[in-house]
Amino acid sequence: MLTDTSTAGHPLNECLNPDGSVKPVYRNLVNAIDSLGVPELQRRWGDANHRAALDAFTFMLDPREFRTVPTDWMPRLIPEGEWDVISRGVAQRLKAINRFLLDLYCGEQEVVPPDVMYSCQYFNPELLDYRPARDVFVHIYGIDLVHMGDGRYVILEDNLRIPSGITYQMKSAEIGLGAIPELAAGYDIIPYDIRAAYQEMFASLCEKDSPVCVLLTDSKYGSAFFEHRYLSELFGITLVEGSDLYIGANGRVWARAMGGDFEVDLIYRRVEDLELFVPGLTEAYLDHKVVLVNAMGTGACDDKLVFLWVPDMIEHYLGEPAILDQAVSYDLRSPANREYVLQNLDSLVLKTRQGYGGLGVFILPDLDKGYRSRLAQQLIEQPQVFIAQETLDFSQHLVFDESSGEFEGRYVDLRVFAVQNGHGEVTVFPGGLTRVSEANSRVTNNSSGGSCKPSWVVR
Amino acid sequence: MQTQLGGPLAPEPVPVHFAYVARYEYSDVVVQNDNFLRLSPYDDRYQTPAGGGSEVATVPAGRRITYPDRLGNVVNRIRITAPHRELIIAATGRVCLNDHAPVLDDAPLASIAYGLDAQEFLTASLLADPETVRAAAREAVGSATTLLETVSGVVRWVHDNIRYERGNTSVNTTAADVLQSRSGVCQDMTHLGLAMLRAYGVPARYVSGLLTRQPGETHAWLEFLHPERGWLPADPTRGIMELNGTDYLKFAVGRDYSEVPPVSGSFVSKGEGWLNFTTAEVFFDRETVSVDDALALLEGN
Repeated sequence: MLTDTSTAGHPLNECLNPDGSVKPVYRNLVNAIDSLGVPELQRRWGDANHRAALDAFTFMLDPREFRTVPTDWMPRLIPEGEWDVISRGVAQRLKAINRFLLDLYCGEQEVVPPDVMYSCQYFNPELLDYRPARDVFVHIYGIDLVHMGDGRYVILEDNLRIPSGITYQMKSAEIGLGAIPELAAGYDIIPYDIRAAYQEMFASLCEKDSPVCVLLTDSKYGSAFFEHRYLSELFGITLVEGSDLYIGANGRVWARAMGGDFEVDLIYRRVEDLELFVPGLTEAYLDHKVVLVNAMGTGACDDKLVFLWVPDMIEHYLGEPAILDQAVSYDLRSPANREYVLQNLDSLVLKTRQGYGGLGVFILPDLDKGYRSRLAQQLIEQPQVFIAQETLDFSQHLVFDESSGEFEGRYVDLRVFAVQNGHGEVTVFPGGLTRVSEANSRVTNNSSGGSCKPSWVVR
Repeated sequence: MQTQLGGPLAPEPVPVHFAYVARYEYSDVVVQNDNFLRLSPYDDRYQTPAGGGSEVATVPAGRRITYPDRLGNVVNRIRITAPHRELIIAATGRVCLNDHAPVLDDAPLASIAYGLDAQEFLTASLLADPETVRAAAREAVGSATTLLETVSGVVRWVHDNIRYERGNTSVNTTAADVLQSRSGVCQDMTHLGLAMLRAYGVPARYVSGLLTRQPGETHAWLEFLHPERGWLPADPTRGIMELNGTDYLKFAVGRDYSEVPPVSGSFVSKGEGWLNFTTAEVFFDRETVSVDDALALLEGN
């Protein structure tokens, strides 16, 4: 029944060959799906959705509406050999960006033009000459990749401010396996331990065995609150809002608590404008009274224009070529590039420099002509606001439509998460989070309405 | 005081000092204030920034980084996190003003081929879109066919047809708006001039600075691209293109105001903010100038 699907024809399907035959790594999975049969699949899908609801596995776009993360429970499979390249490429990139940030704030970086670097919204002059704990800026890194087929993955963007979604990687796999264990038959899924990696990261940064850590959330009404709550419980750290923290007479950060206030060693922050949430925090941080994860100022490399120079950072700081390619991108400050982009609007993606969460991403071939010409006008008027990227024809996967009982093709990307601890050791969590576009769209972002899929790295 | 085309050069560069100050007020506490200042003298053949005394400062103080942007403007970015309800920005500097070289060589516009680098000064910018002013540009240029005649026609037309009037326009007013209302301040007249020149294929850019003999507030004029002489100034507000170089002190150039305001940035607060007072002074007779001189301009205001 899965192999009957009419959408099998996409040339880049993760699961199926263009002729509709099943790719070798997916054979066990497809057999398992076929032997369960549609009615049973529908029942199991319902069971998994129910488990997600019971766990409040949510991504709330509207606080008045309880909305579990839309998930397609058929896993994506990544062969170990492909994963090995991804994992080395992500670790390499993280290390290079970290070296660059250290040079940017404490050295004399010459990789990125000053005009680009210092005009970044998230470049913070206050941090000049400040070295974060153990010289680590990037503790948690999220990187968005797409698969071009044949194991070649291409980077679309880096997420360095407050990368979110690692819980979705974990929970989608856990709930899916719980509800439909038959799908794992014949696979050796590579395990990982997010809790251990984070705890080791916290301890190594604070240079003590049991540092007092808190997770700072923007609000319990925020879209990612499930993740904040879940991670704080997983790590055994207190979940706080800005008003729970204050700067004590000793200059340290304190948390308000029923049993008596306590001093905080480390804040795993999930907000950007820290000073607004906790007045005085910048000063305490600059006095080395508290560790921030990610470090202040890291967002400078989240800028979509700075992205263009990351391969140069890798060459410059690590002396090696980049393992993973990134999408060909255009700096629109250059007249020749502007000209090229205006001539080729129908094959490009425009992104605003400061956008995130899928906002400010315009896939021009997918837009109507009127919209496209309005964007072209904006690009002529304010080229410095945008970058352009070549559109990629990346892979699709199959998603199960519960009501019709059929499988459909949808575009998928892959967000991979990594942490770096105080010893400079990088852990890349196998599998990552597969994000699925809505029908007829290539935008896979959850803030933009996409769904997700469990992703397994298999031996 | 005006140098005629082909007229005499000022014999010596004229050294001047300037001081600028602005005070912003906020209705609630500001916890973070991040500003980009384009208040340092631009370095080109008409003026040479002179060392000693070029300074920018804020009260309360913040951390600063200084860098050149892509058009050669000196940008000072200052970020403040000391809580405040009032922000003062002060800038001072010393600069040698050189009189403008005489422009002798005119050329038929049709014969000029501008390079790719000039394209961005020919196309629409946020506040100066040539498409919106074509009819008026035709009226202004009339039968002129050469570069200098075209510029002269535009500059005079703007001066003669746009009433200088404060209070009716804002930092978001476009060239098309100015054409509609037929009134505005120097910034608006400059935008209209830019758009009209672009409509005729003359690359034109916005200049922000001071009139040395009427300081008080910042002034705006434009520059057009001459194929041999590079960027040359013209002032639509005063209706002239034969500027006396010592009358003008240039801070920054951009495609229009939106790219090069003297102060731009963002603050984090629950309240609102507004410019409470700003002024500038130019000294022809001083040996030094300091931030204190700039702050002194606030006295009584």
